[in-house]
Amino acid sequence: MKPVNQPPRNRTGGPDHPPRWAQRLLRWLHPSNTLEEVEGDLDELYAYWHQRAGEPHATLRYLLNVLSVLPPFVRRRQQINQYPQPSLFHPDMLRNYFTIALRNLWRNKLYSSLNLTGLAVGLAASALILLWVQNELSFDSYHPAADRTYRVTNTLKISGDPWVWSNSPLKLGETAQREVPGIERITRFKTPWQAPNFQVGNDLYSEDKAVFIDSTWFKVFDYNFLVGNQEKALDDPNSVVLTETKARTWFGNPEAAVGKIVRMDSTNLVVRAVVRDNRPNSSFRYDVLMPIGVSLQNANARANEQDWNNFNYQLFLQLNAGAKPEKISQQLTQLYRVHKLDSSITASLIPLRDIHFNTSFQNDVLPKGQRKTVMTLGLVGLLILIIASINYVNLATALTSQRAKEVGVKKIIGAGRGRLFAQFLSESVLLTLLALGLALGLIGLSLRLFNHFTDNQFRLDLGNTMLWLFLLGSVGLTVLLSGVYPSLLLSSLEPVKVLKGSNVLNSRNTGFRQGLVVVQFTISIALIVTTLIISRQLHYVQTQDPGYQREHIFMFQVPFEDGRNTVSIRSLIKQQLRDLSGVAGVTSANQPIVDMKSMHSGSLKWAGKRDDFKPTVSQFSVEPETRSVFNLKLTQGRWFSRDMKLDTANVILNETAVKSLGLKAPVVGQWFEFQSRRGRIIGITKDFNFQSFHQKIEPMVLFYAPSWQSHIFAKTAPGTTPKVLAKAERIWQTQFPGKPFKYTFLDESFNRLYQAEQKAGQLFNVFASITILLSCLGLFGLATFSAERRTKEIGVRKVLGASVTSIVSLLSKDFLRLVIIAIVLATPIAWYLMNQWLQDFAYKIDIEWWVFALAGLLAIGIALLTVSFQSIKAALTNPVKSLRAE
Amino acid sequence: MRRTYLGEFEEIVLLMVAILDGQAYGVTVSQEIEQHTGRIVTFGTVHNTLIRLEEKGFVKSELGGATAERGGRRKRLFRVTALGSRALQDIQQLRNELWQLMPPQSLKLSGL
Repeated sequence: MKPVNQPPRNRTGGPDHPPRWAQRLLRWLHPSNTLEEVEGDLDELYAYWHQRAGEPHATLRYLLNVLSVLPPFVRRRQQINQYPQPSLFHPDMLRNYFTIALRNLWRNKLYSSLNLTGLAVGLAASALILLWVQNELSFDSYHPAADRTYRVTNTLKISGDPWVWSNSPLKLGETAQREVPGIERITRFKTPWQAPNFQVGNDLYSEDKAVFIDSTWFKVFDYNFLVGNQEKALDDPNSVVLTETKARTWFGNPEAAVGKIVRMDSTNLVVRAVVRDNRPNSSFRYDVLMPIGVSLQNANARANEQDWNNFNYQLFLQLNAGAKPEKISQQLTQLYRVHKLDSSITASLIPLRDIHFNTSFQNDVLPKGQRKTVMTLGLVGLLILIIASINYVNLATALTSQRAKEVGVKKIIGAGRGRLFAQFLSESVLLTLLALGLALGLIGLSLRLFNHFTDNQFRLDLGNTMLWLFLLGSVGLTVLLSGVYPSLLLSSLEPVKVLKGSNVLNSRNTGFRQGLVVVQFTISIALIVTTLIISRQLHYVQTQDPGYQREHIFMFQVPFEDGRNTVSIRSLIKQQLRDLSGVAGVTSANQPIVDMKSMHSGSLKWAGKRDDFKPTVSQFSVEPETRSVFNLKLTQGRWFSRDMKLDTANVILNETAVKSLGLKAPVVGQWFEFQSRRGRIIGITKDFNFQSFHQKIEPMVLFYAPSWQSHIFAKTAPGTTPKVLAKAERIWQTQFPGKPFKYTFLDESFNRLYQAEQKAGQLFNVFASITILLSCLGLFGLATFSAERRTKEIGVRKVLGASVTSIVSLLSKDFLRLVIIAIVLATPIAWYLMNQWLQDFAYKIDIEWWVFALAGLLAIGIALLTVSFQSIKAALTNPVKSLRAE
Repeated sequence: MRRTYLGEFEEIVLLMVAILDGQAYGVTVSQEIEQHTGRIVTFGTVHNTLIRLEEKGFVKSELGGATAERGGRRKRLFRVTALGSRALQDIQQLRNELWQLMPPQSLKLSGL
């Protein structure tokens, strides 16, 4: 058989051609590698149909057939390349990328080192921050049954704000275990009321990380036993479990510790096991763990703990799978109703994972985190990474013109865009990995400092998968942020334009880069403002007069011992202290004046008090000398006096108390009942801040109860403190032989109130400096580039008579504009953030305009300094040099 | 036991390529099918089938030289490969064998 039809002649351009829009559609949508043949075939067919059946028919069929070769109907022909391209990951290709990348790094030493430093510093800083953030967010989540473990808290609601606390009666745990279904096991702990002393061999240690626990403790919480039996560790009532570090300090090594005897006060304990140190994300930071029984050696104490009114234990419940915590807490509340006959207390359960950030109750024995701080620092970490990446983007795009020829030649030889993209991306991966190496070094160097700051024990443990996950995640993020844009830009260059030598970067790229600089400086300026305001506020609260004297006063606590009259021991110690030379005054009180936590509600009565009004007041037990030692001011009436026998029933109020209790004038002389003793109000003190400046001054009742004064305060004359302390220690030793003398200075405890803020402030200082440094690196790179690009222009200007000043200002002007835009952007952001932060303080500074002006000036100054280095260099260049090579 | 399944339409297209002997391309194949089988098929069907046949290795193709025809666009000319002709022969042989096995009266009966 012969082919039936010779292909008919096509008369393109004639009147009978297929509809042009259909042809355009075809060209637009049909796969490009079969377009030519298909288009020709369809034209031919059109002519054939036209000839046989006329134009309308042909057009219809043509349209139908065009449709049949458009996606999704058309099958794509696989590209078979005559010159197969090696795979992207072919070793030869990789080696080629690597070589080229290294050569480029080497050729532009300045840029490379700027880039590397920037990235390394950024990576190190943000990795540290992220590590910390992750640690904070993962608190207590590593216990296998963390999801089913809950902490019991109790809420007392009588009047006003409910009072929430985390201690429960000893009996609650046992009763709950017995009577409430759904509880798998309970465990409790109690911290000693003051640091116990341990005698190990001949050495004496005061240990503030000791705790009494139930034997179920190790079943509920995850501990890693190095030596000793987990099951039987606390079976013996006189046993003790140590952490690795504690075992090392006491016995040299964990193995040697087991079986040894430690003497706590008057009890001998046997070390049964040694566990691995507490993890940094554990709430339980105790190094010496003893059974609860050890604390209940005498019958009195045992009986005491059977009382449902003594809330001394932190109770944790491990529920059965599927048990409803709401229901269990209701049943616990019911137990209070039945056993304590009290309807005002409700129990609730907090999931174990949440206790770190739970701030519903104050004075927790467990360390707390502030979610706000964690989030803020996390954000700062991310910002640093972004700034470092922006540097890379800026420097890499600035180098585009240098790489343009390479791209042109490669494209002409046949490299596709994807290939070039991969090449440049791999360069940024390489650089980031190099930076990672440097960053690891930096982290190693700064870890100790960081641990000190955050009160943590992070280690640069290279076996830690989490650390690697973070580092690699940061690297990935950096590559994504920094590598993609330059790679896209470079791979998009058109070879013809590049090789002809026309300008490869259009104004849009410049705009993008300038935008990035604005972002960097906005962040930097906002951080400068933040730093300034935080440090001013901290300065404010630390120098603000709280209304009492705190300088040169040291304080210590007199321990309570069975069978000894604490009041007389205290008087004796006070008298001996007073006799020392250099001591300006001695007094005692129920708590340190800098941060008073003791509150009272209920027993207050006075003339004209409404029955339903049950205010909560702070209680401060003082004595006649207290006033002169702290230099408290009275506005009315008089202070307590030893000559007035009735003063132990009398009270003094502070101004706030007078106001909030609604006492009518004349206040002094009215009767007042407090702690079941009725006396008179003998005076009113000027308000003083007995808590941190976060809190407003609260109503306070000062009373004179010698038995309520466990803290002794001694004021020394300036310069005599060390001598007085040495003598005080001798006095202590005669009273409490074998107990270490522990004292604190009031001004130190005062400063400790703002420790969290101070740390945040210091961290901000550090990280703000890092961001500014990084921004400057970026700006420096950009300035260098811009000066280089304008070499010829500067040459011509100089030849025509421009002065050095005019050229420097010409080059600096552009950058100045960017910084000014950044100032405008940063001001409202920083203002808003700082306004939020200051809300936490009851006493705060105003945000003043000059802070922003100062930050702006600082930024401008830094930017000018950075830019001028390059612009002056450019302005001083001999024009002959720059113009010669044309 | 054919290694690659050949569909009915694929078989027809493959046959046409063989028939056209070097002159087979989209236009001629569609026209031949239309002429000899009376089936009106869209160009896309033919195009796709040719690509599929080539992927399966039954035909091979190359672009013809540019001519003044069709606006200078080149044709893609198809030829049957050894594998393709083998496949066609296999089918033919199988059919023959099956026909031989058929009892003579069966078709007559069913034809009635």
